[in-house]
Amino acid sequence: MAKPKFTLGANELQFSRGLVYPVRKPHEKGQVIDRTAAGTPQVEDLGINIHRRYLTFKNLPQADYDALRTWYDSICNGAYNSFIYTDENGNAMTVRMVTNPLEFQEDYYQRFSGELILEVVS
Amino acid sequence: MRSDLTIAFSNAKNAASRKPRQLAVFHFLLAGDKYVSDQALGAADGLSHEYQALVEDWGELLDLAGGDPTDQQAGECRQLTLTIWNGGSIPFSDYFLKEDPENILVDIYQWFYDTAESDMALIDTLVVQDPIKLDETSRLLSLDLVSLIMRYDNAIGETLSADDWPDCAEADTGKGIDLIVGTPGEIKTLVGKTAPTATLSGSILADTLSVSVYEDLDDLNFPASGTLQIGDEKMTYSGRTASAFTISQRGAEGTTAAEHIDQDEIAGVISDYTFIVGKGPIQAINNVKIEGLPAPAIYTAYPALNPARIVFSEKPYVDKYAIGSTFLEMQFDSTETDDTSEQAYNAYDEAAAASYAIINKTKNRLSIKQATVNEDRGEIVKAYLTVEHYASGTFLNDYAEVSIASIGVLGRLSRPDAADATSVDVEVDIEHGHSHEVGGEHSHDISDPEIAVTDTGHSHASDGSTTTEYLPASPAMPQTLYAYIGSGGWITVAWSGVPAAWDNATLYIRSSQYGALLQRSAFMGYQNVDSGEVEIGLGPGTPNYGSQYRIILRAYGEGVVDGYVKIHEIKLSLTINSTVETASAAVEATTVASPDASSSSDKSVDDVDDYAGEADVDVDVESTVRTLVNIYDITSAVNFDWNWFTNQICRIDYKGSNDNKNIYILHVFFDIEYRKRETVFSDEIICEPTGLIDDGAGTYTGAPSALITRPGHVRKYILCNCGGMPAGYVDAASFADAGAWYAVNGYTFNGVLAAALTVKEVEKKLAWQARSRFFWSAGKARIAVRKKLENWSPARHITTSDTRLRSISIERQSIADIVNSIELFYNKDYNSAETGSAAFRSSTSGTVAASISRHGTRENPDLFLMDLVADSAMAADLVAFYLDLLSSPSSFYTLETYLSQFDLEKEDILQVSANFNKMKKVLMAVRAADRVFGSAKLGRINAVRIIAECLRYFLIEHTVSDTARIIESLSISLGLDLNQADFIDFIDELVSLMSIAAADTAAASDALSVIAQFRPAFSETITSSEQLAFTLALALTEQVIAHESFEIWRKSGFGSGGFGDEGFGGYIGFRNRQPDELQAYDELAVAILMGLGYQPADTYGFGQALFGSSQFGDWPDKIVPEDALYFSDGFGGPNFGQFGWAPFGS
Repeated sequence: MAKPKFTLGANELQFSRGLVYPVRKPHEKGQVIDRTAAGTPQVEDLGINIHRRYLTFKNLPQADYDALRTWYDSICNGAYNSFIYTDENGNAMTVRMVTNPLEFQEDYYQRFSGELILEVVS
Repeated sequence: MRSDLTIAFSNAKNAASRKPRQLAVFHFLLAGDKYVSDQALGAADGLSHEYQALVEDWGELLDLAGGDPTDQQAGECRQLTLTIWNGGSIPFSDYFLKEDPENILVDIYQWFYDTAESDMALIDTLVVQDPIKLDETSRLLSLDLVSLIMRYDNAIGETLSADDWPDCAEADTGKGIDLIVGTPGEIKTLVGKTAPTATLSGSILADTLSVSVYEDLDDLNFPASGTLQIGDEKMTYSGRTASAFTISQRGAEGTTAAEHIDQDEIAGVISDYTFIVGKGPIQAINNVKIEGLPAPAIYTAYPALNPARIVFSEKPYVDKYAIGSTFLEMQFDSTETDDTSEQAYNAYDEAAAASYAIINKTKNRLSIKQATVNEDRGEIVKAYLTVEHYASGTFLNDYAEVSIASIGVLGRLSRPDAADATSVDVEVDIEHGHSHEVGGEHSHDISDPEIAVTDTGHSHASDGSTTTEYLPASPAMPQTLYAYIGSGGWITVAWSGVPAAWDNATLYIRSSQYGALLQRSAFMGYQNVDSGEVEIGLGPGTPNYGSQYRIILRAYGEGVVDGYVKIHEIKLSLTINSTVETASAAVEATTVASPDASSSSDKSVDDVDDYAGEADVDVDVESTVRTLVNIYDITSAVNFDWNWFTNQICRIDYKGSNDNKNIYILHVFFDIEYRKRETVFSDEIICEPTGLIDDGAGTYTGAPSALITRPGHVRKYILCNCGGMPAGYVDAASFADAGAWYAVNGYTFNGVLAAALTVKEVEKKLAWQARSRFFWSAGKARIAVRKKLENWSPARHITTSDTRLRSISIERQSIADIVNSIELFYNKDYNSAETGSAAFRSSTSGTVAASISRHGTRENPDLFLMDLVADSAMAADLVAFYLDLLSSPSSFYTLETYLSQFDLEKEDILQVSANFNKMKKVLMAVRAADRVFGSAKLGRINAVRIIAECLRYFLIEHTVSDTARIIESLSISLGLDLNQADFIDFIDELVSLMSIAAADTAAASDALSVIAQFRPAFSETITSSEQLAFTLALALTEQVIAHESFEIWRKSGFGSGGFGDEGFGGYIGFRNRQPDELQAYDELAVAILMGLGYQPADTYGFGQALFGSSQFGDWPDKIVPEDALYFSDGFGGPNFGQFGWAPFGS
C-alpha cells in the first residue's frame, strides 16, 4: 500500500505514514426527490456528484505535520487551489482540500493524529 | 401556452425522472457573451459553449414582479434575483468595471441533460436592473433581472421644449406632444411657434416712429427687424433696442396708421404660426377651429411631419359672434311711387318723432322702401317689422293692412280699444280789461288766475259806471262739441266761478241739433246762480245710429254789480256719459253778437268799448287714442341674410270707408336682433386629427401607412417606435391570434395617449381596455385576450400526479373587491376641461342582479374610465366581460407543479383536480406561472408555481342508491340558486361544465343504474354555434365493472326541442322504444367513451362517434364482452322522461 502523496506543480508532499483504516470514500449524488400529491415520486438529477476522500492519520511525525500545514497554508491554500492526490492504491486524482480548520491532535510528543477531507474535482 | 418546445424537450420535462439544467448567457456590450450555470458544462456535455460554474442560486423567477396576481390591473414584469459566485481570479463583477451592468441582456435557458443543445428552451430574456449587490465577505454577487419592458420603459412622447421650439408659447413649454390613436375627436393643440408680444409704453400718434415698450425686447426674443401689429395697424421696424423699436413704416401692408394708447399690445408678425397636433406622422388633420369656430383658409396642415402640425400664415383669427344679442333699427329710406299717404316720409324719418304719416280712406296707402345695401353685422337671431301708430278715434269696420312686397300680407294694425277714448278738458277764461275810473283802465291778467278767480273782490274805484257790456269777441264763444251717440246718453255741463254777488248775471247753455237728428234740444237759462249744472239728454240716433251731434255750449254773463260792469271768468266742465263718444277734440268758437242791452252810466259806453273784454280759452284735449306698436316676425323670410333687407318695400293700406278715421303712422322700421360679429385673434386652436399611421413597410400593422388602431398594433407601435424595442422581440404568433380576435370583435382604440406616460404605463392601460394580458415570456412580448367564462376551454387537466404534495393553497377574494355594477365611460372629450367621468361623452352600464342580491351593489368607477374606447359595441362588450370576471368573488389557487407544466403561460385555462378542497376539474385561468429553480444543495426540486383564478366553482355531490333516480330528486344550487326538478334547464347565462365520472373507486357491485337526462332548453334564438358553450363528458372507463348486470339506458339528442326530443342529427328512425336491451351479464367489462360537444380533445363528438362508423370503429378494443354481449339494433330513441329507451349499438 502506497503512502498518500499531494502534488501541485513542482510542490510535493509525501507522507511518511500511511492511512489508517477504515478509509471512507463517499459519493454523493446531487439529486432531489419530491413526491406528488398522488404519492408518486418525482426525481431530478441536478448534475452535482460529490466524491470525497476522508484521510485519517495517526502518529504522524512532526515533520509530516509541518509539511502538511505548509501545504495547507501556502500551497493549496485551503480549498482555493486544487492539487493531485495519489491514493493508497496509486490512483491520482484532482482534489480540493475542504478541511477547515486544519487541526491535528498531538497524541504523543511530536506524534499527531487527525483527518483530512478531500473533495474530488475530477 | 408555449408551442415552441421541441418534442425531445417536452418528453424530458414530462418524464418522472429528469436532468434539468439552467443556463445563463450575459450579453455584455464590451466583454461579449459570458456563459454561466450552476455547474461546469461545455463541449463534453454536448454544448457549444463552456458554461462556468458560477451560479450560486437561481432563486425564483416571479411572473408578476412586485405585483399582486389578484390585482386585475397588475403590471406585467418578471423578476429574478440571481446570485453568482464572485470569487476566483476574475470575479464576475469585474465586467461591471468596464461597462454599466444595467440593461445588459441576459438569456435564461432551460435545458435537459442528454438532450441536444438545439432542444434547449429559452425561459426568458431579462435585463439587469438594480439593486446590484456584491460583498467581499461572501464573495457573492446578487443581480436583479427583469423583463425586457424595463429596458424600454421610457416616456412614449416628447415634450415641447424651448430648445426645439424656441418660439413656442411659454404656457405650453414642457407639455407633452401626445400620441393620437385613431379618431379621438377634437383635441387641443400646442403653440409651437408664435410671435412675441410686448406692451406699448406711452401713447403714440399716427406718425410716431419710435415705439417704446415696457418689457425687455431681448428677453422676448423679438428679431432685430421685422413687422409689428398694434390693433389693426401694421408697421415695419428696421431696428430695435432692448426697450424700443425704430419704425420704418407706419400703416404697412395696406393698413392705416392710427393713434395707439399706452399699454396697447404690440405683436410681432410672422408668417408661420405653428401649432403642434401630436406625434407624427398621422393620417389627417381635419376641422381646424379657432376658439371653437372654423378657421379661415390661412393655414396648412402637415399630418405627415413629426410632430404633426398646423401652420398659419398669419396670426390665427376668427370672426365670432358676441354672446349677447344686439338690436338694430333698420330704417326705410324712400317713398315708393304707389304711395298715397300724407307725409309718408315721416314714417321713416327717425328724427321726426313728433310727426307722422297719415292714411285714411282717401289717402289709403303708405308705401316706403329700404334701399340701403347692408353690411353683414353678425348672426341674425330674429328679425321684425315694427309699426308705431295711432288713430283719430276708435273704429270698428275699417282697418289697416301691413305687407312686405316680397312676403305678402303680414297682418293688420291694431285698432284703438274703447279704453283709449279721449277725454276733453275745456277751460274758458274771460279776461276783460276794465277801468275803475275814466282813464284808469286796467286788465286783470287771465294768466294770473289767482287774482282773476280768487281775488274777485278787489276794490275798484266807484266813480265809474257801466250800462252795457259785451261779451268778448275773441276768443270766440260759444264752444261746440261734436259727439256720437251710442244707445243714448247724456252730457252734463257744469259751471262754476260765478260770484254770488254777481247780480243779474245770466248763463246760457244751449245744445242744438246738428242736421235733423237731434231728438231733443235743451235750453237752459239761469240767473244769479254762481254754480250749477245742467244735463243735456241725447236720444238714440235711430235710424241714423252713430251719427254726430253737435252740441253748442254757450256761456256768458252780463250784469252790473254795485253799479259797475263785472265780467268774470266762468268755468265750464263737461262730463260725457260712457255711451257717448267724442268725435273731435276740437272746439269751435263762433263770434257772439253784441248784446243790445244797455244802461246809463257815468262811464261812457265808448270807454267800455275801448276796453273790450277778451276771451282766453284754454282747451286741453288728449289724443283720441294711445300709440300702438305692431311687431311682425319676419325671421324665416329673412333667413339670416343681411342682403335680404335691401330693396324691401313695406306697404300699409287703409281698407274700408265706414269709419273714415285717420291713422297716424309714426314710425316703420325693421327691428333686427343679432349677435355682433367680432374678429378675435387667438392661439386656441383645436382640430380633429386621424391618428398615427404605419410606416411604409407596414412594420406595425402589416399594411404600409395603415391607420394604427387595433390594440395589438398600438402596443407594438408603443414598444418599438416609442420604446425603441427591436421588432424581433414581438411574438408574432400571439399578436396574430389576438389580432384576429380584435378584428372579429371590433376592438379598436381611438383616443390620445399622453406623452408623459411611460411604455409600461401605456401597456397596462392598453391591456385593461382591450381585456387582454400583455405579458412577457420566452424573450418575447406576448398577448393573450382574456376570455369570458363561457368561452373557457381547458388547455390542460392538472391532476394529483402533476402537483406537489400538499402544495395547494386557496385565497378567496374579498367581497370588497368584487364589482357587480358597472357604468363604463367611453368616447372621451379630449377638448373638455372636465376631469373624471365628466370628461366623457358616453357611457354604458350593466349589473348582475344575483350578485347584487347577495353582496349588495359593488362598484369601482375608477376602473372603467375607458379613454381609448370610442365604440359603443366595444364598450358594451367590456362591461359584459368585466361583470363576468368581477361580479362574484374569485378564488385564487396557488399550486406547485413540476417542470411538466413548463409550457404554461398566463391566461391558459386549466382543469385542476385534487383531493384538497374536493377539487373536481376546477376551471381556472393562469394569472401567473412562477418558476422556482431547483437546488441540489438546498434539496429543492424545480417547480412551476401556478397562481390561477377560479371565477366560480360549485361542487354538486350526490349519493345514489340503487333505486334512487337523480332525475327525480335532484335539487341543486348551481350558481344562480336554481331549484331544478326533473330537468336541468340551461337557460340564458348559465354556463356549466358538468362531469359525471365513475372512476376508479366507483364500482357497482350489484346493479349500477345510472340515469342521466340532460334537457337543455334553449330558446329558439339561441344557437349553439354562437352562444352555447356546453361541454358534456360522460366517461365510463374500464374501471367501471359491472359484475352482474350492467344496464345502461341512454337517451341523447340535441334538437330543436328539449334535449332528447329529437334524434340527434335527425335520425327519426331510431325513435323506436327498445327498452333495456343492452345487458351485459357476468363479467362484462365495458369501456365506453361518449362525448358531446367540442371538448375534451380525446372525446369524440357525439354525432361523430356514434354515427360516424369510421371513428366508432376505432374503439373496438375498448368494448370487451368477455362472456356474452347482446346488442340490439338502433341507437338513440328520444323520448321524454327516461333514459335508455333505445338500445346502444348497432
